[in-house]
Amino acid sequence: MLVPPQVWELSKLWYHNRLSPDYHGRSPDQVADIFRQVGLTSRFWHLDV
Amino acid sequence: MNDSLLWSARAFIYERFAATAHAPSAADIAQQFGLSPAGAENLLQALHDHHALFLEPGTAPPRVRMANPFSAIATAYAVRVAGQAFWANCAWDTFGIAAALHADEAGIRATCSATGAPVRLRLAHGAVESSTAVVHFRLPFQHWYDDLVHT
Repeated sequence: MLVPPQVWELSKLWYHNRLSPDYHGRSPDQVADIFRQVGLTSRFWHLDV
Repeated sequence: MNDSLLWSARAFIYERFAATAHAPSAADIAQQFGLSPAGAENLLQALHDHHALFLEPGTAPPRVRMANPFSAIATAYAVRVAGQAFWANCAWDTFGIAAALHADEAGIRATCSATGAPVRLRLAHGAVESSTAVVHFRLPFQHWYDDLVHT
């Protein structure tokens, strides 16, 4: 569970460039980096590929 | 599939959501890019296959259900930014809409999925106003795309 300020910080990292024509998705490493920046490092947030 | 066309179509769909809170139809996409109806439908399917958006299952012609954080259908998660009302797919996406629109001010109205109680949140001056609410993520991240509607 996250509190709203955490979700807001996550949202800014995740969605800030979503409307950009240059956004083509992100790699698993980029996803992991975003989660790490917000402190989401538990196994729940892992993307096993 | 022409990559340039694919990503241009993606950008067009997102621009339309941001401007109107609605997704363009397959016909709108065909007109915008000078495509046949089948060409537009193939383009939408390709975007769905890339996880760039999510189509409403079983629709013909295909309709966009989600272009995260935007929902094309009414949900329990409403966001108002600069006088425009949007539907979000989930609690995270309510903040996601504000973030995608680079908004410092937003009003969020949601329904708690556990209790049915209304939840009101405000984004003011770029910060979330104090709240006792929590956002519960039910599924581990690696399973979110197993069934995006359920997630």
